[in-house]
Amino acid sequence: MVGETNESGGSLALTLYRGLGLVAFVLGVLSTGWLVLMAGQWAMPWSSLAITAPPPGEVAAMAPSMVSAPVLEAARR
Amino acid sequence: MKLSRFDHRLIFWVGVLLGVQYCLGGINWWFKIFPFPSLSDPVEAAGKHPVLVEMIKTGWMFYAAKVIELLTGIALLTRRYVPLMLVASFPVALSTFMLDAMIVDDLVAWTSGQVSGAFMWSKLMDMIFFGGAVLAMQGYLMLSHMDSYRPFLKARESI
Repeated sequence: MVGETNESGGSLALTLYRGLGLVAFVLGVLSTGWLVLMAGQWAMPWSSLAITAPPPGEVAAMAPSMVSAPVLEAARR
Repeated sequence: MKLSRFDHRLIFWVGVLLGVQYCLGGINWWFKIFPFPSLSDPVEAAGKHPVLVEMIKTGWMFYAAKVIELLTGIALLTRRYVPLMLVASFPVALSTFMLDAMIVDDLVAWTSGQVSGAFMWSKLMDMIFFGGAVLAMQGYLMLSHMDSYRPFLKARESI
């Protein structure tokens, strides 16, 4: 773990390290759980993919990062 | 600093969670189990980020990323070569986060009324729960293995 420091610096580093660990754990549980739900597609209607998936014929009106450039180009033609 | 039993448990479980995510993400490239980019999808499928499309078109770059993800997942779940694979997969984790974090265009589109609030919210959630979660777990585990990396941090070469 993070190197030897003085006592107060060490305890602050340990607190930050544990804080990061807890955040990582909570986000890990939530994102892994969501990923597993997506495997069965049960969560699909509530997923960001359902919101960001381009409806047929409406690709041209989407924001640039929502769709690959060639698809956007083809849709705008 | 001395790590407690709690720290060791946290390291173990974060490693398991990241291992599962990397394994599933890697396997999904060859065997589609999630609605994410996969070998069986058309290269220029709508919804794919342009960067991913270009990576797939190279014929090796996206494969390489997926092989690294899978190997890292196996390393984390079997607890073998963990420090090495965390370094090898760091560019993949960082790139994934950066792709999810690039929401400036969407933010502009949202403020100008081109996209809905739900769309903007979904982009924000993607950034936190996918790219952000992986990066947080990766960063935490790398900090936990700092002793393994310390010899690499020499300012002067020793030979």
